[in-house]
Amino acid sequence: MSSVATTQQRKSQIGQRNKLKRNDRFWLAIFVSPNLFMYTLFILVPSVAGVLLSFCEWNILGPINWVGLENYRRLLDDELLIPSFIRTLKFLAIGVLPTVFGGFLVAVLLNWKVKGIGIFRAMFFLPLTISSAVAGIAWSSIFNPEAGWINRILKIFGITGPEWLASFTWALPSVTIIVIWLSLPLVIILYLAGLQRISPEILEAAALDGANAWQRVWQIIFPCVSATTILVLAIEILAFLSSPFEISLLMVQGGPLDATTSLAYYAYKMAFEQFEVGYSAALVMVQFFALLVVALPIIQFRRYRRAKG
Amino acid sequence: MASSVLFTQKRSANFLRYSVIVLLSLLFIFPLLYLVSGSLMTLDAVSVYPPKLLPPSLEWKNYAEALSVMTPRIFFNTIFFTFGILILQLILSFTAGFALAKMPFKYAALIVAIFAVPVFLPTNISIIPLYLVTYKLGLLNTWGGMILPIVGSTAFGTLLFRQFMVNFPDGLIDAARMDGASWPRVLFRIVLPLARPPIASYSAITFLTAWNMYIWPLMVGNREELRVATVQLAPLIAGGTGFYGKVGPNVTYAAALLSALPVVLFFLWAQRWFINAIAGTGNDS
Repeated sequence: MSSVATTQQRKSQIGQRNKLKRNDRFWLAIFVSPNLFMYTLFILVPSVAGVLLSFCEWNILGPINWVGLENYRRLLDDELLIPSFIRTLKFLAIGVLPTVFGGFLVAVLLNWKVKGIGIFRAMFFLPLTISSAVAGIAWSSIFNPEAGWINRILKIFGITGPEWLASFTWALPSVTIIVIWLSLPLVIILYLAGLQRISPEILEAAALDGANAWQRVWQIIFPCVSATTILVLAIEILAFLSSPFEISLLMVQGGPLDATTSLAYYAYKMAFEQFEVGYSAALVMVQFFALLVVALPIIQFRRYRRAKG
Repeated sequence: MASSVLFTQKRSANFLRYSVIVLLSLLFIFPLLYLVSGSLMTLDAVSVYPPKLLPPSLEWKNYAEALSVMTPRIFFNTIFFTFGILILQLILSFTAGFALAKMPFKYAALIVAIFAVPVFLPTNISIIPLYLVTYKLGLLNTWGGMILPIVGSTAFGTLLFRQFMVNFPDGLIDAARMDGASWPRVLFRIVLPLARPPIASYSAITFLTAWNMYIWPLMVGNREELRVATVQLAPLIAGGTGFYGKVGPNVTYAAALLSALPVVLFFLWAQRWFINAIAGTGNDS
């Protein structure tokens, strides 16, 4: 690298304008094209291929056949599509709002200049560093129906807890709880950053003591961080479309009885267990369009807010 | 009189707030605290009902046993995977981010727009075709297949570094160019030493993401010579079955903690960079 640099340097020291320009273009290409090449090969090509494959039939081993809209027609007859779509919506419905509002409240609590607050912040940030695999191991023991802590504590109140991850009804909420736990640190960090930008006078007016502190938090502080709320909402919708898949794959393999098979998981199964790559791609497109329906209003709203200043 | 009532009121409110914070944070990381506690118990102590909060005796030998799960080889693989991605992607993103900000050319705006596309794409739209591209390149079950397709997702880094470079003073660069410094010299001698904050932010986020990545290394590198920590730990997850594999839950907990330890320590040491990186991505957008 350094020998190349010095010859280039000598060339430019000759100082001819033309040569310099060619030299510029040479380095421009060196700086940009490796990146652009990798990005094209591993992001753009697969994305476009994903769209095209949704119009094809392919079992990985055989040839690729163009079947037009056949995969999309097949979606209409697919009895497993609607249930997995509903499960995706359930993950979003019970996951996103608790994460956003819970993260906001914790951030308000932690936004306090007091001795030792750093330790408690660090404790709330910690799941950020934890892989899904490690989270899976930790939460397996917490959710264990016999020896787990949740059912142990419920027992103290005389309640016999459900089988959690092994229960058809409770597996989806259990997976959601784990995803919330993994997502909260990011939300708290973003809200803490948002709270830093509120003027001290406003925070003073909403001081967290006395009567109605709860109301003042929502009426005074929450509107001040609405930009953060929109960002967090968008991030968490994306997170709850993909993260439950990974947790479900690791912990319950989509079960019990498909109870945690989201649309993303169903598409994965279709490709890697049934080897129906084309149909799997069509399923991913369904999710993509569903996401657009949810995301476009949010993007529009942000643009509108920003235009308003 | 009135002010002292107010004062005691404020004090009790502060005390309440502090107590809530302490309780909530302990509750929040309880799964991890129990992981630590359980990793130091005997097999009997960890399986007994009702569950024990603290180990009756400290079984450090669980960690020695856990090294047969989290073998040196697995650690090496995880480190190689993580830093392979980190370094290659850093070089690609840093140089391109610089060029897109400071070497004006016709297509710069277009290329920046192309890098902004994946913000709108869910990752699983391309993961199956990505697997197929990797397969067609003959890279399945190789280090190249593990690392290069992930390196390809340069959008975040490129846009991050470009943003930094846009705000970088032109005067410094022009002066150096006037003195006859070549572009690489400008980049590595003048810009690089001043670019520590975005590099630290980028590295913190990428380190964390790569170390904890699961699905891609599972699909492409499930061979012993390539296997990373997450893929090694996955079969040990009891999940809904409540059964642990060939090692007991106590050893499983120890192995999980061993795999998380480097990231946790790194995080606690470089917490500021992590927070800046994450909060920063929210700030300017």
